[in-house]
Amino acid sequence: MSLETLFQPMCFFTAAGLVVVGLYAVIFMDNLLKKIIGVTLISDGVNLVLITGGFNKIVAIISPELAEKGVSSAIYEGLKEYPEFAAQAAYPLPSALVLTSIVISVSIFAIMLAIAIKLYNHYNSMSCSVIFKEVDQ
Amino acid sequence: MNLDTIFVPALLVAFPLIAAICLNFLHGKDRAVKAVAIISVLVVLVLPWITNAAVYWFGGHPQVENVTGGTNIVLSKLNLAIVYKYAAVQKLFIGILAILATAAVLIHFTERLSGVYIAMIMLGIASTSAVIMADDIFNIFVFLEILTISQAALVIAIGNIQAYKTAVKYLIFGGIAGSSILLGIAILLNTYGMLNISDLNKVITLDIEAGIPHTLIVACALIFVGWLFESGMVPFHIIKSDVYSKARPSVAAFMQTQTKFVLVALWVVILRLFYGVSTLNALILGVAILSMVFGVIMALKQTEITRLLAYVAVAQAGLVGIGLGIGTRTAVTASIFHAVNDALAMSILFLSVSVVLHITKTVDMHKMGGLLWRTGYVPLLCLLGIFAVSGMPPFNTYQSEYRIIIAASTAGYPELSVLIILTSIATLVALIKGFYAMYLKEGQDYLTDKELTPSRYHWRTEAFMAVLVGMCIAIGFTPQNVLMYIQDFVTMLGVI
Repeated sequence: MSLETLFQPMCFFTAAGLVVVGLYAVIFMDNLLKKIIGVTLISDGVNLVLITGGFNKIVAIISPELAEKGVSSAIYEGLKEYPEFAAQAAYPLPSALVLTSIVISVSIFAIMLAIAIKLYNHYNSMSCSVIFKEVDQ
Repeated sequence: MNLDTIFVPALLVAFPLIAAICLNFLHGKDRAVKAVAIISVLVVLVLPWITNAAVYWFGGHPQVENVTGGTNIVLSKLNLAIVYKYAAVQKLFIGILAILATAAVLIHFTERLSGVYIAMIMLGIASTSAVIMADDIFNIFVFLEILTISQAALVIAIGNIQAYKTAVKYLIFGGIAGSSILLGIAILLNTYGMLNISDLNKVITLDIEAGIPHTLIVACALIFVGWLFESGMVPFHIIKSDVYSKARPSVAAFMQTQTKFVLVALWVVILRLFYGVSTLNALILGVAILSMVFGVIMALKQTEITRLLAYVAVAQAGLVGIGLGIGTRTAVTASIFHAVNDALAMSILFLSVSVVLHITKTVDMHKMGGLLWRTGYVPLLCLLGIFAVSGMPPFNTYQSEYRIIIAASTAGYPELSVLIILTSIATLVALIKGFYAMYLKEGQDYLTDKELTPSRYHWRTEAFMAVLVGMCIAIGFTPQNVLMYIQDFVTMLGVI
């Protein structure tokens, strides 16, 4: 089995690992900072799933094999000239989506960290059992 | 000059976003913030009504011919650009949101206004409008995330440690729910190679003729989890009610409206994509019943007025979900109608609490009281709001609740009708308890305070409450004026 064929399954496997570790951190870890990192790990895992899908040639708007044979449309006329590129190129849409998703994740991460600093300054602790004790009571 | 080319649906999202950016930069300059804020809310208030119903293709890219035989996408035409659909129901939703956003800004207008605070309200309007109008599933995800950030920021704006705790919890849950939606979208994209909901609806319809693929069920489950969070349904009802209760009551009125409209908008997406999944309606019905029952039970045992209202809002969202879960055309129409009605009615109560909180500086019902003759027409308007939320005639919610009850009986769920009636009675009891605590109970020390002199603050709140009560009564007397648009909308969905 070549490295190329293993690439996509390995990416999905890594993504699943990131999501599981992230969920573990969010549910079981007491430290607020670790919970916040857990959320970002989940988000990263999902982004990896999304971008790995871009390597799936089946869903490409134009299949490389047909592009090589010169099949194209008015919209993708340019691709006919570059069959090698068409054969190598990934589906570009997931890359654009992941970029947007990363920006959103960073924004949420930044706000959560800012609140975590405020909470740390108040309680002098990052432990959720200390911070959320009053809520439980 | 053709105004149709200027007042396009995209402006309903673009303008509040631009206003939010400007207000953010003006933070700290009180006069400038107030000037931009007043212009922004006026424009936001007018825009939905002057924008004509239309389908808007971003970048002017309409549908294109598909590459014949070159791909596994079987549709002959594809939407390449992001599409916004703006019709009468969307106009109604965004119009109501604009009224409540205006209330949230103007009620506190005499105080020192934070530019960031107003910016977050504008961001809330932009994101909810986009979710309501967008026909692109990734675009909906992006704006749901922005909505979560803006709601968390509006809670943070309170500035106390409890608000920070609520905001961080909300963001953690929001992050997980957002990832869940994104994973569902990734599965759809990997399977079908497209994001446009109308295109996906067509291609999935062709696909499920040979049986429902497992990937579709997984995507449905993941997006359903996101829907539960955004709608504040069980098991996310506690965090949602926490957010409502920690925010300023005038902003909570705006937030609960956002939640109800997002509930409907996301349900439409789920229905159009996954209507083939047989257990979907049963699942929605199940969580909606639980949300309604838990919401009203929790409301009955609250000792804080904001929490009481927050749980009633959750219970009412559950009632909206019940109609959607029944899934018949009558039930869905009644349910969307109830979302509109309840958003208006609940807002009256949140605004009345805004006045009470301004005077008493506490949300504890044991520490308030004696305000019946001290707050102008607010108690009267509050009482009318309580009747409206409880579904009493001649208010609008009576019309929608009655239709949900009839639809439940007709669809073979008579026991559900009984449950809805019992919930309405329990809601009335819980709200009357709150009314008694605020207005009828013996007065407290603060009654001797000089702050009780009527201020312009009350005048503005009273005015907004009166407008909302007027709208509730007007819709109550002429429900058909709103219902006909909702009926058209439900028919146009084409999957019920």
